[in-house]
Amino acid sequence: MNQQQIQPILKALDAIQPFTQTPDAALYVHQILHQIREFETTVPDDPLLEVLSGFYVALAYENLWADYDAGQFAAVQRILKKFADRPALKPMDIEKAIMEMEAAGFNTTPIPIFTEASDE
Amino acid sequence: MNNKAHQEAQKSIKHFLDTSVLRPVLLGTHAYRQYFERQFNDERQYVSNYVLMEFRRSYLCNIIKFYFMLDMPSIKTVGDAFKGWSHKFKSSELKAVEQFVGDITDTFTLGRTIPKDKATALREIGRYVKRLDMKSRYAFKNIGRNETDCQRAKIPFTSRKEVHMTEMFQQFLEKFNDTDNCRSRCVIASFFLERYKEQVEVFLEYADALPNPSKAENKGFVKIASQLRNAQHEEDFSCRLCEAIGDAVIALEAPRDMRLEHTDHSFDHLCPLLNQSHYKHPSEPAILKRSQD
Repeated sequence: MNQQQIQPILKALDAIQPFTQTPDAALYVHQILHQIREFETTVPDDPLLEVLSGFYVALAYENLWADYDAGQFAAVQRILKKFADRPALKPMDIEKAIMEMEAAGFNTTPIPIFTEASDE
Repeated sequence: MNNKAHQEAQKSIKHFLDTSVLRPVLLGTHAYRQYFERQFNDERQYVSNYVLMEFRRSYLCNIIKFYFMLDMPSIKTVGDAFKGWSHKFKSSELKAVEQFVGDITDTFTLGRTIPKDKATALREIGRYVKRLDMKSRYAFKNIGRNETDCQRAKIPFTSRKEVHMTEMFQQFLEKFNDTDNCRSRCVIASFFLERYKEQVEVFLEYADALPNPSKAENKGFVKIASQLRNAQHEEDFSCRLCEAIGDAVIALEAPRDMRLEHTDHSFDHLCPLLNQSHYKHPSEPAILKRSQD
């Protein structure tokens, strides 16, 4: 995938920024989530999908999308632009992209795994 | 000490995380993660290779095992995998996997009875596990020690090459489960029988003198002491034993200039005996109750 191909997502990330933390953001998150799901069908082996999958979870789980601010969406836009244009994404690139997304405040593993304590 | 001085003192603490704290920092409920963010409001969080290995063993391995069950040709849907899993496996760690996979299917709006959604569920579970492992390696500083030369701690989880997830998990789990090979190459026996022999004797004497060994706060430590008492020769040590006495490994290996962060009672006994600074955090249910009150 290159910047051209992920343009719909980049465009939505631009458009969402004035509306973050309001119900109006739903329109753009809807576009992003649907686009990511479409990529899974059209370019299923693209390594950038590992990054986009983390982004999907960070948005969709318990509607966390409603909590992020404009700066955070701008940050993920920069991250996706940077990595989308790399000719061949290697596993290290994917890890870097995900950790940069985490540093921008997107928790790509928000699902709690709760077990009974063994020695409490 | 006034508030500012206390905050300054807190900033200078280096936090060495036991698995019981690493788990909620990465996988806890929102309220519990926020609690630890407030506690460790800085960059100074450390882990060891052994703690990372325990995290993989206790959480990631169980999810990967479910992944392989779901990937069986005999399993048509996520729902079938749930039924089989919960029918056969009752422990709390394995039930936690069910809850986690359920959340994955909900997040991706996958049908648990729809065969075509099985592949998506597999893919997203696999990706999630890879991200968890990556975060465990990147989010904390590693103290760099592996005093037991634990071989399971050295098995790479991710591949530098573009290998399919299933193959990557298979390679990892096969090596991780090859405990005979791992045990033959680690030095857990000499760690306890030679290097830390005196400290182990102190543990045993203390355990013998505990007035209420069956009290909840004492049971974990007493069990560790009992296991150590019975392990007198090289051949007595195994990966299974190491799992049972893991808190002792972590306490002995912990840097003495750091504070060991935990939620387990056993460290309340182990750490003072080693002059190891430590702090016992409230449990997740306690923090959840506080946040609801």
